[in-house]
Amino acid sequence: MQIGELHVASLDSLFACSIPTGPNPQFFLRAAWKIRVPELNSSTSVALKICGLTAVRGYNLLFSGLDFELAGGRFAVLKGANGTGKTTLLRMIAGFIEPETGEIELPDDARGQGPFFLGHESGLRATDTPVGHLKDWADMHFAPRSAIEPAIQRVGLGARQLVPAYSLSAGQKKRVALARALVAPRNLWLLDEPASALDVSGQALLCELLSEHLKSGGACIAALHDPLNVTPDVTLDIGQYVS
Amino acid sequence: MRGVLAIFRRELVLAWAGGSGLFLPAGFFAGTIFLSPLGVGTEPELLARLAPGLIFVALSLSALTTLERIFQADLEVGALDHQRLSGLSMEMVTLAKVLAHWLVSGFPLACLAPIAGIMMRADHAPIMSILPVFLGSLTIFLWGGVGAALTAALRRSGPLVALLVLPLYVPVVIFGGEVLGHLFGGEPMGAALSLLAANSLAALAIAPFAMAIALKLE
Repeated sequence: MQIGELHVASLDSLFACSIPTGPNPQFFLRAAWKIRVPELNSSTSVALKICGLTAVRGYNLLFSGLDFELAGGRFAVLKGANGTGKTTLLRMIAGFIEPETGEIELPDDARGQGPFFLGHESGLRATDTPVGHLKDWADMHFAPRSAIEPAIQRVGLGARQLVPAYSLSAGQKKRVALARALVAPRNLWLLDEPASALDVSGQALLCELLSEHLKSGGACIAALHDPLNVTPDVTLDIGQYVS
Repeated sequence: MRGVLAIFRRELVLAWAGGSGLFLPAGFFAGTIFLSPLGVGTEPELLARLAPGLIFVALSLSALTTLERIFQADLEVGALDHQRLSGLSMEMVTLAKVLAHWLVSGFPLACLAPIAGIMMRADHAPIMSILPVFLGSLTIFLWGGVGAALTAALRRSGPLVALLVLPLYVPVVIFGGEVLGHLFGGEPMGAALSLLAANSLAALAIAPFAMAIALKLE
């Protein structure tokens, strides 16, 4: 339609027609509607619910009939001998492995962008620097970049923040991993041997961060061999469910 | 969108910082073009006839030198797990990774096409000859990404990736070679360009979903 041909009668139809927009932004962000500011202070809310979970690895049955529930603000410790499936359970909760049978429920808050997962791998490529990595982390999780500097200071990497990962020690990489939780807070933490490779002050830092997380209403489930300085509310022994 | 752009930027930065692998495909491509006259002889007519096909064969094979690393590097250090947990759609994440990878390793090959034409004694080596190689390399990297995603968890998966994706390169080599042949002969590009472009679009539409599913399987 040319502007010159426009007359009064066509104005209505002009305004009535829908304005074409770009691609739907939700296309780029799955489940965008679920993302909202988490209510971290509702300590009675359920953070995690597991019903009748069975895990199989190769041809081996790891555990079966596992039922478990974790409320917000609670800290659960996962126990079990080597090879009983602690890591498998954590990876199932994170959604990396489909359970053989059973269900895992995470409330919407936690599912919006998933739980915070701290595994054995550092998540850092050899040439990643702590600052660069945390910037990407903040952008990936739609968190403000202003949280990066305080997080790096908090985990004690101020002097090493521009050093590529191939020059960082295993403990320092673990500290970078802890800083992720500060940059983009999540309701549920899944920690797989979080204290490994950390020195004494690193372990104290881990306990400090964990206590703060629990106090703010977040939940945590951690696979541990040596107890942390934070008293667990629940202990889940996977050995019980091994047939 | 900010999240997907962050992944794209991360891949570019890491590729740049990683160094060594960056120019491997370009070196492989240039080496093939450089060595072939020494092998087949230097008659201009023969070289000019060989040029289009040789450029596309060199393109498909040189892409194979880096493809397996697209997802493996992130899978090994656990970064892929984090990307899965971030809530971003894996289709967009994989597409961003492949495009970043292509920009670093595939796009320079397209820019080398006119030079390769001159080296092969083509009658004409117009700047437009970048276009078919550009489209072809994009398709090759997209399909290659599917192969890389399927084999990400395997060690030394290079030969397997080649086996999986080489059949998908057939239309690229056929149509791309034809377009380039027309261009080097000083003729209009003809219908083969449309088919080449359609092939690229099909790869662009299908590959991200295939890659996301493949990564979920491992």
